[in-house]
Amino acid sequence: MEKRGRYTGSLLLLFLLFAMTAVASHSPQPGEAGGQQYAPDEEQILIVYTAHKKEIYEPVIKEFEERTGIWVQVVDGGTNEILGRIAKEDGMDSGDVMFGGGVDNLSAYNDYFETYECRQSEVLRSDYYDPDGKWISFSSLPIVFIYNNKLVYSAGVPTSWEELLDGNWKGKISCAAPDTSGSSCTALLTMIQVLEGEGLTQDEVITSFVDNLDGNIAPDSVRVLEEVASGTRMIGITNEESARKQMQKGADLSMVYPVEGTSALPDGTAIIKNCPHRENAELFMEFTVSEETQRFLVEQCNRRSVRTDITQEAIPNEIHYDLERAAESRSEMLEKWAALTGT
Amino acid sequence: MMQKRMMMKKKIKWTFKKELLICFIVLSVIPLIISNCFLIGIFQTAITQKEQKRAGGQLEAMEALLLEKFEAFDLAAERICGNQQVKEGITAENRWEQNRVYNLLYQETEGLREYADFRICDAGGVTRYATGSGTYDVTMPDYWGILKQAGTNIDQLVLRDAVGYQIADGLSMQAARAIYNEEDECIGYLVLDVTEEHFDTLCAGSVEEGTGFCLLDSFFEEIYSTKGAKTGGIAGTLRERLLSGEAPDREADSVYYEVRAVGDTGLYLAIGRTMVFTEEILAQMLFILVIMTGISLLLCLVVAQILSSRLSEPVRMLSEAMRLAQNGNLDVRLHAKRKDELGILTGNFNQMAGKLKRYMELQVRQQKEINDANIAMMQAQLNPHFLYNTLDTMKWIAKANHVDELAVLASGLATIFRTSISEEKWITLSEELRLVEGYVEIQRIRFHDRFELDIEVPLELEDCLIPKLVVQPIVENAVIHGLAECEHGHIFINIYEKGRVMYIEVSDDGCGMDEEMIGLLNGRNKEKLRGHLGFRNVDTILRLYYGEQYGLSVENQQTGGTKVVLKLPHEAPGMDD
Repeated sequence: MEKRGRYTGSLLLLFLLFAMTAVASHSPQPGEAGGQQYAPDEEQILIVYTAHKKEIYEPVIKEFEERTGIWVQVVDGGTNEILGRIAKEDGMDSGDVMFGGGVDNLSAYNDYFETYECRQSEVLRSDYYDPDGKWISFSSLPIVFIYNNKLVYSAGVPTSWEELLDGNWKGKISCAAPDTSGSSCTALLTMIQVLEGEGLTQDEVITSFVDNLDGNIAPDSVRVLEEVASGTRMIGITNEESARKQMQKGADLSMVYPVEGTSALPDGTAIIKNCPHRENAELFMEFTVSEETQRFLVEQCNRRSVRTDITQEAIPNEIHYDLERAAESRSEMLEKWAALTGT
Repeated sequence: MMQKRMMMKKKIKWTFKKELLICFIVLSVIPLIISNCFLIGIFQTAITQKEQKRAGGQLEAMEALLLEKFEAFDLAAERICGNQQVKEGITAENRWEQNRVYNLLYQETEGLREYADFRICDAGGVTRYATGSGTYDVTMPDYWGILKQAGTNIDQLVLRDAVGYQIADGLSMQAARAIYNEEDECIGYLVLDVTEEHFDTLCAGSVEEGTGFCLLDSFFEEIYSTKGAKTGGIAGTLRERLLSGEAPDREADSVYYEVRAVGDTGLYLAIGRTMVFTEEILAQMLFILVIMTGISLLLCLVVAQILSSRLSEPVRMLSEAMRLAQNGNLDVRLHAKRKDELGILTGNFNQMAGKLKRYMELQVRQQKEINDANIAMMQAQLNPHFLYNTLDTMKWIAKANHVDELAVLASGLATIFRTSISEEKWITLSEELRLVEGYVEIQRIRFHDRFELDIEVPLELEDCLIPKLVVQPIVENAVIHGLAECEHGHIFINIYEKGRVMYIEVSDDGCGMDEEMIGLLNGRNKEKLRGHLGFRNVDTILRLYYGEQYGLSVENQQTGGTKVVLKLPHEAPGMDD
């Protein structure tokens, strides 16, 4: 009886097992029509980390795809966010290319980039060329003043950095916080660089400027344009591209290049350390500074080319933006800003 | 004992129940589970296949629709680009020529304009003619994007995802074909702008409402998605998974993807097919299966319980009755209400018990009859009636003639005969002892006073009733066999009571018995005691009256001679038959 009981038990178990397998085997298999056969080969992939806006990276990357047949996987985000990610990944399972971000920011992360000698270096602007070969510049963005045509009489337009500090525009200036907006940070550093030549110290410049903002700080550069276009503020500090775009959209704005000089800090492109698709990354680097891409930038995207052979109107009063000096005073300036604004 | 029986009963019941239960489970639960599992499986497969087929059919229909439109676009583009008037009119400035080109453009794109806006650009990408609104002043770079592609693919309408190049709101896809003059110089382009709205129109009526499909370019980037596909994010998910090398389908999504290439255009159609047979439904069905199995198991248990008790109860009763019968109670009977095999078995048991009882009664009665006959026969042997009267006469004659010895002889003999011929089967101990004394008197005369007799009996035992003539044969035996050779023999009868048993010891100091004889006597092998009728009869009488534990035993005394012990119960006087 005992033996038979065990036999029956195992038979029962076998039946159950069989039944369960029957159910399991009938669960639908992943369909072959799922499109897996269209997946790209590994050598046909490029992973691009970008801090550019969609309207910049999308056409460039799409054109790159169409021309090379390479599938580009895009990871976008803010400059610091992306650079932080690259540092965290530290060459492990990371992307291929860092596309965008001010070159001053990129320089701070030189350790995480591969050295690359650009094949078109002789036609690129030498002042925005990294001698270490860690990054190449892509486009430059001059800092400009904007004003609302309806509110500001053209004769009384502010034309210099100095004018912003003389108290006449107190509470009427729109400027983004430099710790969140890259262009605002560059603008402040440019102002400091320019006004130091006039005999003012960094602290004096910032203290005076913050005083003239009268507590009105825009959260980002987009808000600056909106505030000026809507008349909330009369003048604003922003970059040329954003200003032009807003004007093309029909905003009643005008643009002024400060007379003491303005900087045109370029953004750059770099190959990430230990990138999985090095060959494609190099192709992409060359593509970003190719004549056609640079022409497209100038003609369609309101950007400044970093090539010397592209015809574009010169930036009025452009000064040489001292990268090293900026890198040094940057954190000091931000600390001061935070202390003054209480953020 | 009781406990053991309970256990036995339990074991029987459990074994029955277990076997029945296993049988029921094998017959009901397992087929239920198997058939249910298969049912679920088949249901699942059927639904999935049906859904797959439906999705495939939709994709096929969609592909046919797209290819048809593309074909129409292609033909129209070929006609427009090859038209001389168009070629001449691209850069025309006068109104009349422009109207001619427009007329032609509208004529050739008849029926297609609801699916695309048509534009003619010059070699520099500046729009010269446009059927749509809002795109008159568009300038497209000829070194970039679709125009460059059209310029390098001669006599071909190239298609391109409009991503990153939004010259008009909701632009989804562009198509372009270069226009060449006789010198094979590119003098312009025909551009088709296909917006989301156009696609909506294209799909309206030909695609089932709510179908989530999307059109992808060769890099699986979204060109157009229906509303359903957009909310599901099909295009993005699909591309992401293909890029990371994963299988597009994932169980957890409950969405399956079907992808189909659209002819040789390099475009793909993808459809997100929601799993009708979700994990949830499967879980529900399995839950029902479990419940059904549970109910059926419960039913099996109940039926097994009922059936096993129906079967085991009569068996248990039968076994109980048999135990009683074994212990001698043959009156036990079972009520057999059932007409089945168990009923027949119970009936048979009843019959058997009845027959056994009748047989036993018969046996007892026969034995009793035999015993009575034996006793009567034995007593008859010692009953010559007339001798008593004769002896009495002899005694008186001897007295008259002063022959004293003869008188004593006759008187003793008479005493013996009186006792033996009386109808009484039981006499008192004192009567028996008197008879023995009479007998001894006779023998003393016969053997010239060669032996003496002593009797020691407690007064309270003298009135005890014993079967008559049980002591005399023993004494006779002692006189004849034990003291035959002796000059001065001595017979001692000692009677005493111990533990409600009366012992009558008859000892002599004669020659004793050989051990073989003693063995035979104590063994009571009656066939071999032919020569010792006295011993045999006494022993038999005691046993028949009192039972096997009473009777006669013999032993040799250490001082010489034999001691015979009669053992009989010390019953109250007056014991009747």
